[in-house]
Amino acid sequence: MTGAADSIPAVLAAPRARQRLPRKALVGLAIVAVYVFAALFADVITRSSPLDQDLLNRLDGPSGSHLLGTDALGRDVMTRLIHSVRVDLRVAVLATALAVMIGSLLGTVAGFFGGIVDTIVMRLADLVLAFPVLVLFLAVLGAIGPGQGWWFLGPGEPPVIIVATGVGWVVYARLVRGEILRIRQLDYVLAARAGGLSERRVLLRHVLPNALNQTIVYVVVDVGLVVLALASLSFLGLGIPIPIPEWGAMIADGKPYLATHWWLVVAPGLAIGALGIGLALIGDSLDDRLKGS
Amino acid sequence: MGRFRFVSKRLAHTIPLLIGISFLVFMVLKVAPGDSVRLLLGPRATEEQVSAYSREHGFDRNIFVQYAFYLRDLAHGNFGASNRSATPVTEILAERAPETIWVITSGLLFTAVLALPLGLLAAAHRDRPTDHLIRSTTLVLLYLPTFWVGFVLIRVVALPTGWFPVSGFGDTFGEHVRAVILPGMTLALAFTAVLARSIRSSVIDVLEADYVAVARTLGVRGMRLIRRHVLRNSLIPTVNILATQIGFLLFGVVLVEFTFDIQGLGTAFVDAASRQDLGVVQGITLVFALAVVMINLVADIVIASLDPRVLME
Amino acid sequence: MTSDWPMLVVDGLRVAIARADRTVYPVDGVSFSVAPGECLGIVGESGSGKSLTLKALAGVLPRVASMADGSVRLAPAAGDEPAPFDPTAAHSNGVTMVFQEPMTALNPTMRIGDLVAESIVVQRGVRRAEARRNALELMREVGIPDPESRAQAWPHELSGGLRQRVMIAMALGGGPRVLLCDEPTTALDVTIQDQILRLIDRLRRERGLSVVFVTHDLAVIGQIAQRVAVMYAGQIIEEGPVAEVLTDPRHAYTQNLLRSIPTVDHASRAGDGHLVAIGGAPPDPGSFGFGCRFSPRCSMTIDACNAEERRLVQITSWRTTACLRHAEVSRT
Repeated sequence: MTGAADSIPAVLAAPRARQRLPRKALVGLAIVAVYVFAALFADVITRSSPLDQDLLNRLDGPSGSHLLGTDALGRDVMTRLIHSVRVDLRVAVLATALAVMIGSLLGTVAGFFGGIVDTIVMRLADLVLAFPVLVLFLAVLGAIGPGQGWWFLGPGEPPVIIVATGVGWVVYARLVRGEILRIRQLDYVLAARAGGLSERRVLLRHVLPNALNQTIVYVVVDVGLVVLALASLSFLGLGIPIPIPEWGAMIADGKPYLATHWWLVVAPGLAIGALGIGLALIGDSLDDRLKGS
Repeated sequence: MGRFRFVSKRLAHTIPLLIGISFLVFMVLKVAPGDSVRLLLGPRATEEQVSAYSREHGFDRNIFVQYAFYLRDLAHGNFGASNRSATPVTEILAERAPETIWVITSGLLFTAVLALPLGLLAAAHRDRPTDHLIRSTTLVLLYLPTFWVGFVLIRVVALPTGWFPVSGFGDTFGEHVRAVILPGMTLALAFTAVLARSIRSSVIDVLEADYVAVARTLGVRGMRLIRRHVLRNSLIPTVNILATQIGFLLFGVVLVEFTFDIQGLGTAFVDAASRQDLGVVQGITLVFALAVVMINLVADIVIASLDPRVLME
Repeated sequence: MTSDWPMLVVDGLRVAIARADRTVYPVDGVSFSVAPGECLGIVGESGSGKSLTLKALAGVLPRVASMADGSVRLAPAAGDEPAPFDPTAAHSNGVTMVFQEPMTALNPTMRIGDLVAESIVVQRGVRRAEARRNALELMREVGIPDPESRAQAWPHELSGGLRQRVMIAMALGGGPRVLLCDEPTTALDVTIQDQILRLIDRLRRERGLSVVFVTHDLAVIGQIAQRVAVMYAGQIIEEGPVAEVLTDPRHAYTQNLLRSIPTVDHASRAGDGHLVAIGGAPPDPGSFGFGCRFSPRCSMTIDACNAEERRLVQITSWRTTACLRHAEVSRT
């Protein structure tokens, strides 16, 4: 888009790219690293299982042995908080990865072949988007129930992954398709083709890098959004079934005790938010890098 | 292409969409494991009722016949019924919809009051402290779960002051208003996070556009500049974004209803889904999807009236 | 003969751009003047700072840029003495600008007639009905056929050439004394380009406008300007009447520019049929060297060229150049 600001060639307005990472990215990476660490070493850093109930010590406040106290069934809140990372990250990463793969594939096909193939894919996208995600999810859930998990997925996870993928692919499909269509029209592509280069080659060399860049930015943010969605669904009682620890479910559990044991609600919420923010910071700095280049 | 042709074209485009949606919703029933008819009628249905229903709805014949019967039912205003209480979906809708609409309205009002000024402010003070503040706050809000924010509001505002009910909807108009203030604010906070950023972004884009520079060289300043050049052009992408966020809004409404114990369509929907009450699930899904399609259509028409380039095909 | 006062005088203009680590000056001490009814062409490569110069004069510098130094004077009427002029102040009808990209320069949500009328309303304070009539007149004057129906059209419905005519009409709405043109024909194809150039030239003569015409295309300069200033790396390095500068350049850079124009006959300036391009690229404002800024790319450079800052020197009463070795520069 040409604007007054573009009259300056990019070299004038942007600083030379520094080798050091900007502060934003560092903070984001630090946050996410903590979560990844927690996911990988959950068993090592927590002393008990998140499922252990201790009915004699229900609703204890924060103390030495229970950093965040215990919940209504005497389970250690901190432990549950940490173990929840696994569930959320697993679902989010898997769903996003699938969405990217399927979306990019469909987008490439649509952009490359055009015509009726393109129309079908785009109509499909419209259809998917016409359904609000929740509605879709509930419909799926209403039909097949939470399920018992499958392979390495825990109970309640498959429907979420299915729906998140089923909705998420559209963004990536549109992105790739858009890039293909845009590049196709550029003069130098036309020139290259006139010069005899196969279209496939040209598209690959020029579409791929740009699409990849934008995809990565979206992916990072998407993971955060899926985590949010999963937590919300669990809060509603439709996601991860009890007693498996999940932040959203923990918030729902803590709801009756809001007046007195507010940290039961606040802590999981902060956990969700912090992860999202960390990912967003990374995504933002990637975006800045992209814009600067 | 004239406005009329544009609208008709869009409507025509919508029809296949509606058909697709109704078919998908219909398929929800078929995909569910178990005997479809039993799922619809509930465990207490008698054998006779089951076979009568099967016959009437073509369950002994192929899937397209069944779909046809489903469409016929819809056309007659029969959106299905609960498999537990046999309450028709239309009744459930009538009973629960008002509360949901109250919440949504409250949410939209708060959003307009919050998002517009914040977005404009951030754009006007670009890269200065105000802008950074607004951007970081909205970023944080974006990732804090809606329902969590609601709880924070309850804990921090409702409980200590006692001004707002912690749950429920109340009986009188006044009580309704008080009951939807916190839910509305909760909804608005989440929505504002998205909207304010996009408003900021589009206003900045417009401010940097050549035609704004041109207007300035011609001496167009202040309110005139904003009114004639900035406003319309920034609204176009904003309405676009708004339309894509409808699903987000609906999700938010459901979460808010749960948080504040409001018996609206959202809670009814979630309830039905967890009980596998397929009749209700189908019915409400259809209504929601239809609402989204209609809202998108309206949004398209609004954009067309704002942006003359759209009319050129 | 009317008085000798110029219409527009620019003296020592510097534009600063704030980068993350420091400030750079892509326009670094530019001075020129334009007589009433005269067209001054400013020619240079991309990155020479010519566009920013115009934007500074029009008061529409991008956010990151600001006018750091220099003065601008504008005469209240042709023949009067120029008075100090602030480009960013709310001003009426003194200086207006025609932009390069007609596609993005017209507000897509406004009809053509309204766009042209707006400049009239804002600058002359005329009421809308009369402004509309004036707008139609103006559109006729710039050669837009059938103005009545065109006025109802949207920008995206017009061809590039027509849009540019609309831009010109808008710029003339307030009866300006100076018209700044920022490569208005670069985005158009050659036949339309010619029409627009003829239009600008006619308007200049009929209205006694002073025109500052910026372009990278020497051929265009030859067609539209009476005097030309050659700009490189933020500075004017040569100035003089168009015919003279183009046939008898007095700066190594100008000579190179002229050589790099492809001609139809195979015997190009270099004598071997190859297109001669100037090797290298213009320097980034952050790394302007000391002394002559062209010397890194110059085939004629000697040590003395960088010994001190180059200033424009008068070589005849109407020509200046900053080149140390100007006497040895030749056309071939």
